[in-house]
Amino acid sequence: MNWVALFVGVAAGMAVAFGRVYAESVISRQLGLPPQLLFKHRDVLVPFLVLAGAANIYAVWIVVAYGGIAAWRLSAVLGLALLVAAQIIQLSVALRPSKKDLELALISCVPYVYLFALYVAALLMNKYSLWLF
Amino acid sequence: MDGAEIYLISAAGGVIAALAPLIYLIYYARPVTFTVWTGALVSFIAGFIFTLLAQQWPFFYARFTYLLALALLITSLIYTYWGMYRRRWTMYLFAAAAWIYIIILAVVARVLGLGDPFII
Repeated sequence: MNWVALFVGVAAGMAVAFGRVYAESVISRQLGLPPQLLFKHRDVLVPFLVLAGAANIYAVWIVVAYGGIAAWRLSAVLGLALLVAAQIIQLSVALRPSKKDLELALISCVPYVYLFALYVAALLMNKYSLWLF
Repeated sequence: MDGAEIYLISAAGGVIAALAPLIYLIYYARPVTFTVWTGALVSFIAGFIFTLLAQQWPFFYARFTYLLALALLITSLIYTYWGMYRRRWTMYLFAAAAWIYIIILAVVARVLGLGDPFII
């Protein structure tokens, strides 16, 4: 348990979610329509951005702290690259609301699935390390 | 935990305390005025000090003045959120009570030459 990564992650995720609601309010003011008419899935996306921001930063700490990057294993570098890509996708979801928001949010969950698959595979193969290749 | 980590967690706590009401207010499309932005600043300071003090729990958990400071800071945050919701800056005066209490504790400890501000 790393409290620094957790708190900083939640704060960063809330900053991203704040960007999302601020972008929604700016667009709805320009178009003169209430935001709940323009953005159907904002009730899902705003909490998702908070949780995903926290998960990204905590997962980066997991990858870096347990020796993955120190050994430059391909699986660890791949996980880090996927996390950076997910953060960029979530930033674009936050700052440029569009009709593809839910699809993009779903795509940005790929690194969590990847890390969980590595965890299950390491458990099944009785390996001590998450970084199998 | 060294000093940098403590201040990093405190800053994150302040950011969380300041952004939570802002996200709520903008999400429900309530008007965001100068009073609301001031409240965000006030709640950042309150959240920062609360997280800073809360991390000293293992040293001071048996001190009445410490527990009172934590309780007053939570009350101060609630008053600040109320002021942001109703857009009345007078609520921030109630919120300042916790700061005044902590400042008085620090001054008294300095005058008496004590090592920490939580005297009882």
